[in-house]
Amino acid sequence: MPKKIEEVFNDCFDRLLSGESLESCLSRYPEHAAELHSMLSTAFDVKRRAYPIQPRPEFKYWARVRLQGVQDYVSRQPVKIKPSIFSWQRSWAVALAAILVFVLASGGTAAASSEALPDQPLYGVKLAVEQTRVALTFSDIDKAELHAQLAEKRAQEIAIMANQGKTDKITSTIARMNYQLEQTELSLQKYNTGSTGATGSAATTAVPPAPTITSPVKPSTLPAESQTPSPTTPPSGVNAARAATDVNRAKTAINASAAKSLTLLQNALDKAPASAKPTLNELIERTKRANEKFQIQPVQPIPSTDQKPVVPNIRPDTGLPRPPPDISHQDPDKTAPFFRPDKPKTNIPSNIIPPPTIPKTITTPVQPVNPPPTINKSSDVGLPVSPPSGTTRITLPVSGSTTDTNKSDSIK
Amino acid sequence: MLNEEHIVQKAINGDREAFTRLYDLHFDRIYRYIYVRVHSPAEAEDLTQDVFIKAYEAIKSYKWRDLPFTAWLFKIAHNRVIDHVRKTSKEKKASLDEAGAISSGDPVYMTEQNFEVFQLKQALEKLPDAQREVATLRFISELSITEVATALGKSEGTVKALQFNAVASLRKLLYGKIDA
Repeated sequence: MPKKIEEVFNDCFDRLLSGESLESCLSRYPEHAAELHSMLSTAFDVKRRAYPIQPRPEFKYWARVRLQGVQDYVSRQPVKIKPSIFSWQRSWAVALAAILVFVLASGGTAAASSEALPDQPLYGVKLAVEQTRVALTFSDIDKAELHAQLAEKRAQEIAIMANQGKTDKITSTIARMNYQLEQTELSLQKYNTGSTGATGSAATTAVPPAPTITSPVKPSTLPAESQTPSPTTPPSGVNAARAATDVNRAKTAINASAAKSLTLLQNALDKAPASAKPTLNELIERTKRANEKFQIQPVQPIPSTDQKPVVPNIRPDTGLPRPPPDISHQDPDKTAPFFRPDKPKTNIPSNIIPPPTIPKTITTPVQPVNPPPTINKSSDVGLPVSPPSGTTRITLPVSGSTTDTNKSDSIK
Repeated sequence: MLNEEHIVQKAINGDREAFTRLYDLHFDRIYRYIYVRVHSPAEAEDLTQDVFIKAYEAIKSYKWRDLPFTAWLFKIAHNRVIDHVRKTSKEKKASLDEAGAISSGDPVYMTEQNFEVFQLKQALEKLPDAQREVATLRFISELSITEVATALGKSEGTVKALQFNAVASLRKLLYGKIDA
């Protein structure tokens, strides 16, 4: 296949550059000889014309000097690596790795410090973590619980240190436990002030008692807070009920912590150094006081207004339990529950409004404030007597008025 | 070529002498290439200096396997000329007064040389860009067909065709007028 003319021209041009003669080259391509001759002449004429184009010697010299100056300058500069996409990725990866290492390391340190004792290096981290937990707890009631837990931790530390004979740090740990107990009381006090100040003050003092029916409700049918009047219990509303629940929950937790702490401290007392014993004794006393202070009063069964004296359910002659009373022959009205709304009592005078129905949900567990007199059936004289302790006053929705069940019962 | 590759590698590793050798090897060719593309010898000198400084700054990132050193260096020169021509193309065209290439002492001979260089520059300016580029690199800067193809990013076949057409055009431009 014959070569293209541009191929032939390039081949001959390279041959002439390498020293081959024009005639020799043209003889290789006789069919293109004439055209090649003129074209090659032109190409070499261009080369000849360009040959005198040379840089001035002085310019060439000074350009070289300047380049050396640049080389000197560059060699004195610190090595810079141009940031590329990959270097950005690298830097991000390094930053991410550093953050990850920091987080893992700090998390690991925090976890490792949880069992640290006062004489160990990580104890400071443990205290810092605890402080952070306190700072991140926003509710006073939760803070009180947390401080109680921390006081228990201090008690554990005191016990361990006393067992191990490491007595030098016991005093400072006692001081820390004291502080936690103080904070527990303070937080609870703050909560009480806040809740009663916000919702309870008006209801507990200023509002006149609404006509209520004092109903001796079985303990199992009401939540504990409604049966145990507490100074912190807000008087009305769902929030108040919730607040009361919170207080009791917190008191239970604090009480449990204080009980544990007390046991730990009493065990540690024997092994504690003599110098720490007075302080430890004070701490034990304080813990006892806290334990008693946060003790939730046991729920007292509410006696009925027609309650009879409690008779031991044991037969004195045999010492065996008495059989249950046979009530089949009795008047159902007399053996019925306290009142039966579905069955109005026949002996109630017509001018007395029959007792209303009790709603299933009790909306207002209320502490009696200036309790109105109630008429006790057992007092035959019909004089008003104070309601028995533990009686809960329940406001019942009554069309037109409310009636005291005790009263209605006494009228009966 | 292998020798030049060795020198280039030394220059990449920071050998200043090696880079100076490369400078000596290519300085005149770069200057000629730039000279025929710009209007005055002063511009050619400035641009030539710039090309070598840029080459020195960038040689650390140069890799022989991607591009032969000569092609890489002329690519820098080409880009520098393109930038410069864009900025100055509206200013003025080449003049005979500024076409002086070399002072040989003989005023008559020098004038004839300058006139021929001037004619050549005028003829090159009239060529299409691709032909002018190939003709400049091939006949004035004396690059091989492979180096030209690599520097311009074209195939050797294309470069050969452009080269042949450029010579045919130059023949018309240089001698057609004389013949006429």
